[in-house]
Order: sequence, then C-alpha cells, then structure tokens
Amino acid sequence: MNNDQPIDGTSPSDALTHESAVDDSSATERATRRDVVAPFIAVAAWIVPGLGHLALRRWGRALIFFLAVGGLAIAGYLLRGNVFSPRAGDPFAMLGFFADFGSGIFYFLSRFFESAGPDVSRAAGDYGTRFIAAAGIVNLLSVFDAYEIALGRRTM
Amino acid sequence: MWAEIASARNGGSQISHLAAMCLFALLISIAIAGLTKRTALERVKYAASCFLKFLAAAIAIGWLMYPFSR
Repeated sequence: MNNDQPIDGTSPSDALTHESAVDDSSATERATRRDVVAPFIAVAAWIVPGLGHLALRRWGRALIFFLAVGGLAIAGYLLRGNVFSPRAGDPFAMLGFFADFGSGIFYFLSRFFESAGPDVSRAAGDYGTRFIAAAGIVNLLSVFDAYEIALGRRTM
Repeated sequence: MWAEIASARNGGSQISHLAAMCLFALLISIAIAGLTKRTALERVKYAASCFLKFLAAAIAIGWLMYPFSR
C-alpha cells in the first residue's frame, strides 16, 4: 500500500489543489480585511501623528513621526507663526490651510500653544508659519505611508 | 535653541536665521530618514547625511545670493 495515498482516496494532487484553494481564500480574506482596516489606520495616523504606525506595530516610525511633526508644529506655534483658517478667501491661504490641517491634533491645539496669536511682522513669525505648514506636510506623508503599509503594498 | 524660541515667542530676542534653519533641517531629516530607511543605524546615518546636505545647500545658496543683497 502506498503510504502517501490519503485515507479518503484523494490523490496528492487533489490535496495540493485543496490546500491552494484554502490559501487563496485566506489570502482573499486578508486582503479584504486590509481594505477595511486601512482607511481607519489612515484616519488614526492623521489625527495623532504616529498613531497609525503604532496600530501597525511600527514603534520606531511612530515615535519618529510623532516627534518630528510635534516638534515642527510646536516650534512653529512658539515662534508665533500664522495658522490658516478654512474661511480664508484667497487660494494661497486655502493651500496654507490644507498644509496646516494635515498636522491633525496639533492643528486643533494651535490656540493652546499660540495663545497670543500669530505675529508675522517679525522674521520669527514667518519662520513659524513655514514650520507649521511643514508639520502638516510631514504628517500627510506619514498618513500615506501608514495607509500603504496597512494595505500590504509597502513591506519596509 | 528652545530658549531662543521661547524668547522669540515672548517678544524678546529673535531666533537667528541659522538656528531656525538648523532646527527645521534636523526635524525634516529625521522624518525623511524614518520614512525611507528600516533599521535604526541606517536611519541615523541617513538623517545625519540629509542634515549636513541641508546645511551645505543653505550656506551655498546664501553665498550665491550675497552679491544681490545690497
């Protein structure tokens, strides 16, 4: 008697076909789960810089993004940079708003850190405006990175 | 540097252009290194390299603009 023959009478090739079908279905399930989870990861990464990577257990990247975005935003606020409002009339101010809004929770904390309001009459305030915008852009990069990792498109 | 920033916030002495540029370059270099490299050693090396390139580019551009400053 052939010991490789399954007891139920199926051939080894049938068993392999069955295993690959199971693998295919589990891979499809994983992909579906990733598609559902990835947008939540992206939103978490936007709200709190680094949180998306933290949820994906990328500790180092989470810490780096939190410190970089937080450092840029807080330095910008302490330098009394301009925080753009969504009600700004001109297109450049709207671009500034989108950049600032990218920093998530740090945008909403701007009034806390910048209680005296912006002062761009001095060079420091102008630097601060750039710092705040850069914080938002860096956080948007981290959002895209977390989203790609969550979808499994990015392995590193 | 943070003392200078706090001082600038309170309307005291201004943060220097160089200090502001160094802080900006440092934080952006750290973010880029975190985004593109995997291991801690690679990140440190890449962040240091980016930081130095930022400084070199800023100083070079500063000298290029110098003849037009007056």
